[in-house]
Amino acid sequence: MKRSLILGVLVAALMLQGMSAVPSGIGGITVDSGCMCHGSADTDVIVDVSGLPIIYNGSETYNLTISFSGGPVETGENFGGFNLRATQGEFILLDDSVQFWDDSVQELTHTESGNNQREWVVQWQAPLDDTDEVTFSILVNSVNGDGTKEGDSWNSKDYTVDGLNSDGGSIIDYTNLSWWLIIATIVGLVVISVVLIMKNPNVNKAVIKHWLTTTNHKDIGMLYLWITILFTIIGLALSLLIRIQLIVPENDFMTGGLFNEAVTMHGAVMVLFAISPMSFAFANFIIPIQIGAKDMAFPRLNAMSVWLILLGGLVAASGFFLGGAADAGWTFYSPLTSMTYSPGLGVSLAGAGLVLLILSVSFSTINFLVTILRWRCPGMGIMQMPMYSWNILFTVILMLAVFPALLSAVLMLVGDRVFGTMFFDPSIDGTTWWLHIFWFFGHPEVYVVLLPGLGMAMEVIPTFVRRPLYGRKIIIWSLVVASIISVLVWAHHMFITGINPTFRKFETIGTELVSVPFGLIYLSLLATFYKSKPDWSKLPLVFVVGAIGIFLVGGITGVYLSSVAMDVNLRGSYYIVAHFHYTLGAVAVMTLGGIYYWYPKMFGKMLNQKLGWWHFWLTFFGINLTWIPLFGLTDMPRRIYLYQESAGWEVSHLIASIGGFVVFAAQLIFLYNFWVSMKKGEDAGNNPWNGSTLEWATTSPPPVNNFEQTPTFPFPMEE
Amino acid sequence: MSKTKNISLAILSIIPLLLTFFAIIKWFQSPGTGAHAEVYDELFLTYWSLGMVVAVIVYGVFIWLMTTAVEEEPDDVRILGSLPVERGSAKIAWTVTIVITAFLLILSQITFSSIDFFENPELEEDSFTVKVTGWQYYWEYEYPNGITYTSAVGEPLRIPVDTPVVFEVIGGDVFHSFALPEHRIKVDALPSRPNTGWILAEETGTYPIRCYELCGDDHTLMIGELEVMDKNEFDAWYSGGGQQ
Repeated sequence: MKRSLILGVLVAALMLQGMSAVPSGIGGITVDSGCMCHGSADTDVIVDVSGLPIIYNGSETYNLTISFSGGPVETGENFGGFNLRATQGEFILLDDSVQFWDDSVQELTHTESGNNQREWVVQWQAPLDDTDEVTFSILVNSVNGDGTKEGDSWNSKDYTVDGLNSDGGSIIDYTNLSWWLIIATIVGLVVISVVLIMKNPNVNKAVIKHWLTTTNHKDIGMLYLWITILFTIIGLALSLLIRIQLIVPENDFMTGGLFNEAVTMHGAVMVLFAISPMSFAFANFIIPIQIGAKDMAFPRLNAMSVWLILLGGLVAASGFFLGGAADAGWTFYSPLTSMTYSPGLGVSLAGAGLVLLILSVSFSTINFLVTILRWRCPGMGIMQMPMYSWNILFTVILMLAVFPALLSAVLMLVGDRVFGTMFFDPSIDGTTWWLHIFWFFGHPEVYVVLLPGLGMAMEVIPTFVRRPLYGRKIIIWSLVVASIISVLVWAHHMFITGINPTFRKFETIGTELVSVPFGLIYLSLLATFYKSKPDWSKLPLVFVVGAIGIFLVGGITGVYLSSVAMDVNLRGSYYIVAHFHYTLGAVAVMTLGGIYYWYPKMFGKMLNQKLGWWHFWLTFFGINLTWIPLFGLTDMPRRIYLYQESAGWEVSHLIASIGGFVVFAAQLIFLYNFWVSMKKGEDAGNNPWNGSTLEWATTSPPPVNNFEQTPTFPFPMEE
Repeated sequence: MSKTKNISLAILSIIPLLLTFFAIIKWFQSPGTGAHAEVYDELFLTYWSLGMVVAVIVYGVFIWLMTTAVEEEPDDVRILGSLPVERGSAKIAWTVTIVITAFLLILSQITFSSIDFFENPELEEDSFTVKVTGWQYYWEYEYPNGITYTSAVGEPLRIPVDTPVVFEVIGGDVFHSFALPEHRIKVDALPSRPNTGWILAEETGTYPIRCYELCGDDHTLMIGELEVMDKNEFDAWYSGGGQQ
């Protein structure tokens, strides 16, 4: 009420002043609405306030010079005016050319004697409390001095200055479009799911109870699949926000804090809650059937795993609604994650989510180990086991080896944040300690993500080229070697943190040697094509071949990064981001191939071919379109939300953003196909692909106990 | 049959496409300057050329394998529920292993000769050490004679041309990474443990200094400037206690 009264008075005062055409401020009116007394807004008038810090220190004094250039040429007297407001701090006048417009707000204007100039100097004293963002609004009037408002023009500008300890942007900003996009995505997903479920006449209490209490491995595989699809959509939506922000230079779509939340949660959700557990979706469904078992060894533990993943992911993502999600990067480098620098709930919630995830993973690990080692059907020795099961075996062994490291790291982090335990205190070099323990987990995690995808490729290729996999034993031994090397080379993520030079050389060689086993695996996959009969009309094969094409680019660019000298320049740049998106993108495409391969077994229906081809080409070109241009940005730091046009990065980012949208659109086509084909797809039959492993010997979908009677291996064939 | 062939050709077409794009990486590089950039750019060129050779060989092998496709179903095809067929030759595997390992060891040697250059500054008589401290979100510079200022006031980090200068980098609050992209130099700024790097600038001018480790909300804005000055100008500035 009081505000609007003041506003009214000021408007009146302004009108009066406008009549006399003396340049003046526009007190009380928001700068955006401009000053009607001096012609029209004109972008030729360049406003400048120099001397503003990027970050202010509490109660420090800064000299500000307000000036402008452009606009009409001055002819007589009175040719310039300004109006400056600050949301906090205090102005100090230095000469008589400047006065307070109104003492009750921090708002300045020029005086009568100050309107013959186009530059004014004042001091601004920052507030004592340096936790808030301060916004400066400046408006200038460029006046020709002829005494009328004809030919005059004005322009305005806002400056935002952060306090040293400000937390600007990490609190949810409801005025920001990007935040509404997140809300719309989530609400839309929930509404669509609820409507689809409720419209289904088969849904009743018993069905819901069945899905909530099921312990059957096939149902749990389905639950894993739906949950990871949900997290994938969240991860992709976050990546779209990043791509929108970077589509043009100096975009104001997001704030720095919100952007950091988006990159952090995109990474964490995609790596830990989407791609990695998606392999468990298929592992749960396929492995017991593939090895001829009735179920997993510990069905109830299995059910616990899947619900813990859901809970963990939701807890980690809930930060978006509780004052800001984690924003310290998915690698959670200390001490940015400490209470001092990340006071919000976000990092703690992410930590809690990770603990739940690790529990889930640990339970699954034990479950799969026991299942694979003890529950194979009679006659199936471990060397006769299908390759997908082999890959999952190595995956869970690696998980068992490295997830405890993450658990201890996260528990120490949470301890630091909640109980003040000071494990990662900088004075005892907690930063290095975190790096070691995190990357001891983080590097093998890459292989944890990769191996299930490779396993799918090893099933798909022999099936569709009609020849057995080349070098089964070579591949198995390569996996052994790769797993061992993978836990020894974590320090290549810390090449320039000042670790011992000799150790760096050891790690360089170690990292390069990773390409030996993977080179052998890769060449074995290719060699399978020798004198074979590939059927290129089958989508699983097409996806897998596309994926190994992408993977080679990821692999070769990875060799560059293994070099400690190359890493000096490439570390932290977009090159490295492009590299790991090429490897993980390849894994994602392999996984899609796996979905096309096993969908008929899971649902008894075939996916639509035509939509499938659209999905493939759009995904394939989209991924290349997104990431090839970004390889070139070896000088652009990752995780920055603004870049200047002068940097010359805008074309790459524009192309990349278009590619990002193409990939997202392709996945929407896929989801539609996935949903529609469940009902309307062609009947698959037991063995649509002429597969040779045991899952193709049972019905689609398989009965509760997988087989009518326990199979023996080799499986008796009825001709 | 012709339809299948068309589709296989279409899939093959992705491979040259990838190759072409991959080749472009080289020409995206921003121009470098200074002693480190010479070493680094040469190293990058070596890696890039070898990477291209490997890519061409692997894609070539793949395309060749495609041409060996047969019309009849191969006779070793696995039938449902049968024992897995073992094939493959240990000889070939060992040969490939030895070839790849040898190739990689040669690569390491190339890397090690470069990293030795990065690690061991070739100091001269007039070399000195600047202490660089990363703060949220600016850099603080401290010279041996006591001149101290920050990038927050808009002042560049000043060094003389053709003189090796050592940077002793540390994080004042959180983990930063001090980098001069055009000189191909990057030193992680960890809190409480100093880390060193060095520069030999060969051209006068101003260059951006950027932070390469996420350090908070305004990580993006943590941009400083390096001014490589003429030796005499630098001496005047330096002995004048930091006054222009």
